[in-house]
Amino acid sequence: MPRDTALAEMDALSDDALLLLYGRGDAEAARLLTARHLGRVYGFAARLLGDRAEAEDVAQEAMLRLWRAAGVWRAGEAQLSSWLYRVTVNLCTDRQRSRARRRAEALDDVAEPADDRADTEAALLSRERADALQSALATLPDRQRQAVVLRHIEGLSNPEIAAILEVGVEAVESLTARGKRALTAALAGRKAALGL
Amino acid sequence: MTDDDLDGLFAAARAEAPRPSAALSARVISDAEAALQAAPAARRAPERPGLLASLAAIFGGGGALAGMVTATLAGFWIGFAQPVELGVMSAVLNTDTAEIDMMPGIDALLDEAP
Repeated sequence: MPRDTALAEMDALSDDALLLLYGRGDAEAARLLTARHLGRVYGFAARLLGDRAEAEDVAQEAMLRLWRAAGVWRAGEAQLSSWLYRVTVNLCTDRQRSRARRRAEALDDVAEPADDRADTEAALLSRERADALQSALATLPDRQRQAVVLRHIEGLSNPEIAAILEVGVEAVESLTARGKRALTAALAGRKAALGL
Repeated sequence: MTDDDLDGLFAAARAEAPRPSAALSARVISDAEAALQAAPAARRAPERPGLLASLAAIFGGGGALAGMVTATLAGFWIGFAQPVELGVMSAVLNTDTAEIDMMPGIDALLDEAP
C-alpha cells in the first residue's frame, strides 16, 4: 500500500485507535495525534499562563504524559481531548502556584500572531482585541480564567468543562458568569479603542 | 461593554490563537519515539499464545500438562491391553519358564497390517 494511502487511512482513525497503534509501537500514530492535539493543548496553556515558553513546556509535558499513558489507555473511557485539557489545567495550576509573581510583561508576547500575514487594518484590530482580552483574562482568578477560556475560546460545553475541572456543572456556570462580569469590568474603558 | 462586545473579543482571541512552533512539534514527536524505545516490552503487541501454552495455562502449567499426557498414555495402554485371566497367570507362574504375553491380542492386529 502506498505510504500516502496508508497515512490517509490512519488519519481517518479515532484518537483511541491511534493511541492503541502507538502503544503497539507505531510512531506514525504519534505524529498524527500530535498534529491533532498539540495546537489545542499549547494554545490553551498559553491562554492560562500568558507565557509562550512556559506554555511550550506544559504542552510538551502534557503530550509526554499521553505517550506514557498509551500502554494503559482504556478506549472509550475518556475522551482524549478532555483528558489532555485536564492534564494541561493541572500542569498550569502547578506552575501558577509556584510562581513568585505573575509575569504580566509576557502577556503581550502570547497574543502575537504566529503567521506572517500582512498587517491589514482588520488584522491589527483583531490582534488588539485579542491582546486586550488576554490582558483582562490574566486578572481573573485561576479557576474563573480556566472556565472562561474553556467555554468561550475552546468552545466546550458546561458538562465537559465540569469533567475537566472536576467540579459540578453549576460551579462551572458560576465561574463563567463571574469571569465574564470581571472581564466586562476590566475592559469597560477600552470599548471605543477596540472599535466595539 | 456588552455580552456581544465580549463575544467579539472571544472571536478575536480564537482567530489569534497561539500556534505551536515546528520545534515544539519536533520535540513532542521525539518524546513519543523515545517513550517507545524506553518501554519496548510494554509497547509490544501481546503475542498470541501457542496451543500447548494455552492448554498448559488451562490445566495449571507445563508440569500439570505433562502429567496429564502421561496419564492419558497409561490409560490408553491399559485400555488397549486385553485383561488376562488370573487362572492363566497362575498356570504361567507355576511353570519353570515363565512367558507372559502382556498383549495377547496384538498378533492379530499386526497380521492385518499391510
